[in-house]
Amino acid sequence: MKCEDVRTQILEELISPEAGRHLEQCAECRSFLATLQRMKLTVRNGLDTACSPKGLNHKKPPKRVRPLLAVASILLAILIILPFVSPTVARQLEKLPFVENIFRNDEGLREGYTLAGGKEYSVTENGVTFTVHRVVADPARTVFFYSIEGEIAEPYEIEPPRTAWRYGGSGSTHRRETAENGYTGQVELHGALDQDIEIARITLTSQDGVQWPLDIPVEFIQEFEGNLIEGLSVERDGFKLEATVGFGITGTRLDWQVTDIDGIFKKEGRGKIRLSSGFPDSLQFLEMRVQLMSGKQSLRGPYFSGGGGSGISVSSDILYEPITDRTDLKVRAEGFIVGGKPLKVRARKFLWRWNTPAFWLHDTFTRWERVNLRDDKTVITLKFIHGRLAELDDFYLVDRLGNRYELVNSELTIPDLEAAYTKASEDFRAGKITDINLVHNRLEKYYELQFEPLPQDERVFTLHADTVLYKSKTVLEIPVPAE
Amino acid sequence: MESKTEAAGIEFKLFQEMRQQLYRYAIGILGSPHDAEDALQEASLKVWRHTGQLPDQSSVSAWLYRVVVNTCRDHLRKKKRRPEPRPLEVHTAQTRDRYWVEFEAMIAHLPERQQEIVILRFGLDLTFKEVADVMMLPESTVKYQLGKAIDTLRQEYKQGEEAAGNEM
Repeated sequence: MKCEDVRTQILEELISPEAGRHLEQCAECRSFLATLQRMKLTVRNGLDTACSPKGLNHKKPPKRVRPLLAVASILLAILIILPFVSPTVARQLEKLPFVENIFRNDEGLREGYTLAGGKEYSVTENGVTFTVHRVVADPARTVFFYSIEGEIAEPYEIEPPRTAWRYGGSGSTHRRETAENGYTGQVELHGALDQDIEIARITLTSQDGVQWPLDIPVEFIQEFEGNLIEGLSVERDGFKLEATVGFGITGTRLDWQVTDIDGIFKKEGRGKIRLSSGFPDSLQFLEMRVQLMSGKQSLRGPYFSGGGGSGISVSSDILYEPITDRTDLKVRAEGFIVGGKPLKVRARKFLWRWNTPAFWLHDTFTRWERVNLRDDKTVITLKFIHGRLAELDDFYLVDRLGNRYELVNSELTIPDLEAAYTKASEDFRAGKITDINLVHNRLEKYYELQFEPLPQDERVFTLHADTVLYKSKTVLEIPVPAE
Repeated sequence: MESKTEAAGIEFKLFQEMRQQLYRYAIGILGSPHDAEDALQEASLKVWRHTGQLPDQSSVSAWLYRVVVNTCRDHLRKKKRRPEPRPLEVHTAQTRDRYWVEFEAMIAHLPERQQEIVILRFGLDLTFKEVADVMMLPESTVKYQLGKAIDTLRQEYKQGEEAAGNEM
């Protein structure tokens, strides 16, 4: 066995008995292995030290602490409820780029921010003051605006209260900015708090584990009755769509879940339903779309969305602009990415030429571009155009005798991608197109697959791909009651 | 428009979920917790402002790493903070920072690209495929570069040991 092959195995950390015997004989390869192990240990220990709660001893020069805060630091935790928003902090909050950005594109939140008024809730401990300046809460969303003053071990975390939403709307988004003597920021829950909640707890935790909990009385800026529509549900073609819609002054939120009812895709080993196909490595950019529509029009937004899946279900939440007209509203779900039957296509050689017919796979035109049985590998290039096919994976070849040849390398190339994206970016900026990603779908794609070598005289083999993902044609709709 | 904004939301959410991992990566590249935190802040804004691609979760992860990689590179170019390489085997610190000093000394001997590969592979336990996705390189190139990094360090360790032997 050559040193090169042994080192490849060392790198992959899969050393065969044969390579082990080589290592006993070869000092250079042993040294290579020892260096890799040392490198691995050094990197892990080094980064563990740097990221440990105590961090490194390379302290940043302390920030200038105002005398008032220095005095405060020796006091026990004090909970202060101030009667109004400090004008300095309010100005500081509104000066922040992200707050400006949010308000610029989010009139609902701007209105909610004004309506919520200002009561500050603060806790001071260890020289750090954590203040929530405003809570904007309605049936669609919950947003906390906060500031931190003083020196705090970073990175800090803020744990907000949980939402009462059932599907995707259980997460939160946190944005922050460095301020004059600490930080200011915003935590937005992807959903509303429980309508019966009276006190919401939000906790700041520093990197070294110190906590600053704040219990804040909740005052909703809008009532829930008639504004929270729960229990929407429909089933079709083995899929179930469930949804909740919250109408608020700050926005309209759709919380949804799609379930593969029988778990059929998972059971049959045909993959699982997913939010989107891979990108840019996929054959098509496809995504599941669940949206709130007014008639045939999509509503404006969304601003936020998160999502996740369990294999047999996916869920997410979407925030739209506030809605005044609720007639003809519906939740529409389509474009489910599902697993299909494994691909199996045969190639046969007549005289000197491979007979490899083109085929359609989930409306995608697929053609063999090249078959090359080389000494060291078998190379196959497939070409794909348009269609609903999202991904192919787990390729292998099988010869006439049933011998299997594994994939050793694969590469997806899209020759026109860069030029097409440059053009699409310009069009997007000019407002000519609304989804820049879809340009990907119109391009021709080539998959070069390299396998372990088939025998040179082989005249028949089959190409397999066990993972086939495509976009389902199923569409689910639920009307949303006006009241 | 919807899918783009939705994508930005998912990316931002994932960024928050992956923050510890991204921080680990940034600190490995920049060598300073404060620079790493600054870079993450900057990267989070880039993610927030991003309104383009929406990969699936695995691709989003690779993209987020790339955003942090590029932000860290910008920081390095501006600050030139990474110390000059010094001979390996010289441990001046006797505290718990010794591990960090060793790491700093080791990584400084490698070119930028190899540093990134080493940190992604061993510091974050990514597979070769995942490293390749982040670096936008073929897997074979990642392995080749890692092999080269090991060869470089073998030589450095050897010289360090010889130097230590001569001193004795």
